[in-house]
Amino acid sequence: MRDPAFIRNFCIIAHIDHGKSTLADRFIEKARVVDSRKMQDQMLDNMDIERERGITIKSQAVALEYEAKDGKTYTLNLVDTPGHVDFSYEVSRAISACEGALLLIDATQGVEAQTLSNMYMALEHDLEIIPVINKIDMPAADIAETRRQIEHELGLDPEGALLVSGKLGTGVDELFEAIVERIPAPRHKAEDPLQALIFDSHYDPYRGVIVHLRVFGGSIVPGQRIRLMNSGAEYEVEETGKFRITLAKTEGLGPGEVGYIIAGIKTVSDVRVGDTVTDAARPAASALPGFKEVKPVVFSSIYPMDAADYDELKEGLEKLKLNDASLVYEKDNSVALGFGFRCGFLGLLHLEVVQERLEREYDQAIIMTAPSVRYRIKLTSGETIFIDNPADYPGPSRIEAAEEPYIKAQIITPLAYIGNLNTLCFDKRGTLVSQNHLDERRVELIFEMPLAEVLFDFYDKLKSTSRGYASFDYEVIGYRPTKLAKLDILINDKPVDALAQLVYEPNAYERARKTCERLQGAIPRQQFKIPIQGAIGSKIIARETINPVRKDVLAKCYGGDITRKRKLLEKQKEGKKRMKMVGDVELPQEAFLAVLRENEENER
Amino acid sequence: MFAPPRSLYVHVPFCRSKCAYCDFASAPLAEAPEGLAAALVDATLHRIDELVARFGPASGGFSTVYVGGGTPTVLPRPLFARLLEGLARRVVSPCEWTVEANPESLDREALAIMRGVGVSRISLGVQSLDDALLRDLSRPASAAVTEAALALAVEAGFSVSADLIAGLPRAGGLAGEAAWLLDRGVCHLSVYDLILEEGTPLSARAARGELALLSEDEALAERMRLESLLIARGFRRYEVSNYAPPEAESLHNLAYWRMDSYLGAGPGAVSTLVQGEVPGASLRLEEMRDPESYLRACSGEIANPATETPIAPRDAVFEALMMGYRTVFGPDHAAFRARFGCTPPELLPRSLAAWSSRLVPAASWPGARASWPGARPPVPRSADERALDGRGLDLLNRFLLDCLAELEERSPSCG
Repeated sequence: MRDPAFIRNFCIIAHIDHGKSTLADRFIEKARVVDSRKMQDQMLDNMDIERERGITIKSQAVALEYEAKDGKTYTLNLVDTPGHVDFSYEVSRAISACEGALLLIDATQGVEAQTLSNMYMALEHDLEIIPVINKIDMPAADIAETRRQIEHELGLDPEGALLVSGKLGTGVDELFEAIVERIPAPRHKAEDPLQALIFDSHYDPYRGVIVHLRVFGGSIVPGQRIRLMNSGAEYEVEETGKFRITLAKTEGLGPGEVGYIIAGIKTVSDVRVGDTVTDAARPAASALPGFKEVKPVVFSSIYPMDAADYDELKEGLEKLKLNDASLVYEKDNSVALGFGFRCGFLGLLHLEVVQERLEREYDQAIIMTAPSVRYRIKLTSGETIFIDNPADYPGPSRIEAAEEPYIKAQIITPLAYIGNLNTLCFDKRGTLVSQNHLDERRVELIFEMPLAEVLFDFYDKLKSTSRGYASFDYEVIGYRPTKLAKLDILINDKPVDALAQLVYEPNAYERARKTCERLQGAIPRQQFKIPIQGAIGSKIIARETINPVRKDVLAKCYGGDITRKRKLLEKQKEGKKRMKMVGDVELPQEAFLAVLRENEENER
Repeated sequence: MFAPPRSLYVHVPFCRSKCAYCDFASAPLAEAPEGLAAALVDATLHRIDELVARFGPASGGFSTVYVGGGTPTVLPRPLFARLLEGLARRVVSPCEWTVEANPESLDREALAIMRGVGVSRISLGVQSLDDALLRDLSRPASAAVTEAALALAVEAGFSVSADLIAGLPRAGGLAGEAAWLLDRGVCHLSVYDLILEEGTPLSARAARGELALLSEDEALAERMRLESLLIARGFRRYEVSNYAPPEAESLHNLAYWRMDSYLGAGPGAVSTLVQGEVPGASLRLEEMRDPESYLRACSGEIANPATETPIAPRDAVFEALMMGYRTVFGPDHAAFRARFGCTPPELLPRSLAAWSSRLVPAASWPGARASWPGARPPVPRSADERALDGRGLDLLNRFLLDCLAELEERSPSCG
């Protein structure tokens, strides 16, 4: 086990897209963990979607051996953190596993919402913060301005900021030295009772659950009986080791070390991020602070495109769940779509990631229903219920009062867009809590608004309203009174349960109109005229019509065309498999998506 | 072996200039290497002999001949004569012989050559009479040129069919153009919706939004006006895109829609031989598209000039349906049973029931002109023979997709 004096635990925190994964790649390369020829971009992000979208979803860690200028070798444990608001709890746990943080700022973008919120998080945990200005190789890099923002908006000493190009590797050596010099070594002792923080876990098909942890006091060795202090579960440690891209076995993990344990744990949901591992025989007096159970806030149902694929979908979800403890689901069924699953997500991005992984990694053609938040309803009977599924809506006569979850939204924007952003947030039922001028050009807006409003058209509008300049972060703050109604969507005069939505009643007309318009744009013409209606109870509040198809025939078909035309029709028939028959109407997968997403082309 | 072919298609892969919407096997003659056209004429005639030796028919017994392209009339007159005279020696008095022509390349000399060998029908590529639209499509002709060519052809005694392209706005309207053509002696019309084929200049313009196209509803209104005019003139829509008075239909094209055996020679041409040794199976030959490679293949310098693809019974059945339901005659039950051992109602009970409101009794085959394989006495068809009505023809793809799904659920044989 390593002497804590030669250990440095740090994380990189940044706003999304500020180049964190690229910098992590350079670290690994420089530290010669892997040969540069074998280097795959974004080494730490091992999921396909992460690599493709360039975002980090699951956090990972890596241990780097670095020979410093003082001639001594240090173990630098980089704890990689997820880069998106949905995973802010995971970020907070990763941060609390470290003594220091590199606060990465894109020199072409400057300080943004998550830069600030992540910095506050790091300060809360008493981390030493090293500001790092990244992307200095870019023509649009404005180093002086970024320095000024570091001083004025973050209140940090700009003299201490390092200049780096993650892409080219410029400044990385200096950064290593700064980590050794400025980030404190762990202070805990081997003789203390074991306290180790779980900051992540993943499932390995051959070895089971791999728990990622940071040892504070004490040590952990194979054969030891451990207890998870919040869940109370006990296990026997089978293996300990460090993250060297692959898992490198060790004889144990001592104080201050970051590594993994394997302990016969069956599924990742048995392990909660933030829980404390202690010795079962000699437990610590208390768990490490900050544990909370992460609860899903966004709900949607997933159905297989082809009802026959239900078992495959179930299997896909089970496999996903192995690696994603925050995904929750239960059986659900719909008149229109058959059997499926009601799923809970940490946020919209989490929902999209699950959708994409199901489609790509498990080859599932799926339909997702409109996402919903979870409402708290007091019934006239005095009972209180929570509902997130329109199918469970009790009807207005049984509702005494309804409440919906609210968020605190933080938006950082150039001054020019304040007016439009205020209008957008007011439209979304937001109330402005504060408006803080960060400097003469940029403002931080704090709004309280319903989470449900963020699920429908918010991100895209935020970006288009501010030409992409405004950044956004949020946290859920609790329940507030609301007026709830269930919007039914009727296609060809029949309600389609999978398209129903729970809505804020005063907005029901607008929502119904938009939903009908979008469906009209997304459903192809069929042989007959199809009315699309929005209704509250028995009252129709919006209507669109899809005219019948006029012509669907190949104009020319002579002796030379037959093979080609036959193949064309065969291909079209395959395309029809991505259509869902709902009553007499064929609905494409896009029709269900259309309800969820903003699409300017479809708007009038 | 196979049912002997009674229809012959000959492809001439040259035109004056490439039209903006064209993706056919055709190139401007002026750009072709010297001597290529002449060599191709000879090679194509030679290729016909090979195909006939292998598949028939015996002693030149073709019922229909169709010379298409490209634009056959773009050939220099001596070469045009060599092709047609060569064909005449190989084909004994067909009951229909069509040659495609474009107005700008149709003159007295060409007409005299055609007359001399027994060509009976000219298919004239008019496309539109709106000069601005013609220029837009890179067509070399104009309304005046068309009028002159048409007058010559009618005067020389040919039965003239005209092609029009629909779906684009034009000064006189589609019905106006059709009336003008009928007034000048045209007795058969092919009206094709514009198809934006990938890779053509026109589809690129459409993708850039530079092309004014009629909306689905406007196009329908245009066609309704066209059809009421044509009905008043005694024409009927006998195929998705073809209009003629009864007995003036294109017999050659009917052979395709009946899925009878046919031969095709010349670059890019296709032959299909039905009713092979495997019950229900067909054979398709696709001649090489590139003229120079084709020449070398026909002279034996490189291997086989055609790609031969066996068509499995399951696909052959679908092809017969796909072609047969294009017409008001529908699939011929007798031919269907002979080929596949069953009839469409036995094969597709569900699809036919679902589409029953769009199915009408099949029209009688044109029978007045004897000696083509489809010829029957003009008596009613059997009671369960059906064809799609006008709206059904417009939705043919949807009908066929239903048929395809039903076929796939069945065991491969008719049983």
